Amino acid sequence: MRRLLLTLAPLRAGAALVALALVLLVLVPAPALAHGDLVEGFPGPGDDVAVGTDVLRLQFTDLDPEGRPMVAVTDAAGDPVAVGEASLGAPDTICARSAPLPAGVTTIDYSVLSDDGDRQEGSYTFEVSAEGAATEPGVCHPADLAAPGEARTIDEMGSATVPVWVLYGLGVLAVLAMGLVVLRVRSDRRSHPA
Amino acid sequence: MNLRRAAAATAALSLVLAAGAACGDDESFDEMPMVDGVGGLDGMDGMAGMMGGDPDATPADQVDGEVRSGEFTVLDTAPPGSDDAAGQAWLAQGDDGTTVTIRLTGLAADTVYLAHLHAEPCATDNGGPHFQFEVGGSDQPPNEIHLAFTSDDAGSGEVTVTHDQKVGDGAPSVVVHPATSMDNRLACADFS
Repeated sequence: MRRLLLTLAPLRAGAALVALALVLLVLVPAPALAHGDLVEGFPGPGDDVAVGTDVLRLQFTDLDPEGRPMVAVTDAAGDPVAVGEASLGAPDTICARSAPLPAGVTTIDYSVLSDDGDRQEGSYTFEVSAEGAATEPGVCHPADLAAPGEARTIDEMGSATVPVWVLYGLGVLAVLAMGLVVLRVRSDRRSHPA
Repeated sequence: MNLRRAAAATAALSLVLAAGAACGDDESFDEMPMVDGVGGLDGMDGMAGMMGGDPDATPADQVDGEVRSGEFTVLDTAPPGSDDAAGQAWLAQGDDGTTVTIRLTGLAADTVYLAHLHAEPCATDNGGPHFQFEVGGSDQPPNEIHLAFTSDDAGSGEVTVTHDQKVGDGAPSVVVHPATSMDNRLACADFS
């Protein structure tokens, strides 16, 4: 009977670890809900802006100032437009210079890091036309912005990141693995006392 | 020893599954190939009503109980070329909870659209934030009510979603977005 209990002891402990890990997953808050929502932009969703617009300004809620923002533009033909490296023009406001925008339905894709650590990716379309509104750079000073470089899509800019929940799960798994190693060492010591 | 390995493997699998289930909060309908034609979702038995559409549900305008409805108006944040979008939305509440149905025409053909119940009327910030049963909680169903559909060749679409809780007066509007450009709020309807 004692031998049976000794054999089952590591299993009971393993089950306890599983239960503990699951309880932690429930009790410890999951990654906070998304911040980093788009508040407004120039050009913004559905806007009609002038041909030749070359300053992009996107305002969000609660950005991480250390996060690397990315903004990409696609023209009406679906081809990427050259955009310089995006930067913070003010807290929560991303600025970037683009090549002068040609007429047509244009798409902005963005990827920003919110202050809760979630990378927010979004997309919207707007019109570029001869009758469109003139540039409103606001806090974005064109002279301070990186010149447009190579025309790239948001994917080519390297927006792919590991989801936070994957990191979270891996962390818990690491703790569990360490616990199992400790249990095995203790079990081996019981089986083979020095 | 084999039993210990099995326990460890089970533990790891449990954690991965639990982590994935507990943390899947990112808005990612555009990455979920689950929308099935006009009217809802496929392969989501038991979840369709929660996730975006139930083709078998009774449309809200045919549900017994309190039914409110409204006409869609195109918003200033709509994608260019959306001026012809029009339609109607219904919100029914009864003993079985909430049923929402939207029907639209004038959309882009064969395109995936998403809609959400919102916490403000259309005139207030284009509907304001999403309606949530638990404000500040998850931004996914069942804490929110989402609808998803694909327009047909003629640019028409319809979807019905059900929820076992009543929204009360907390969801005065519904807003439709193209799935590929979620920041473009296309059209909004007030329930009155």
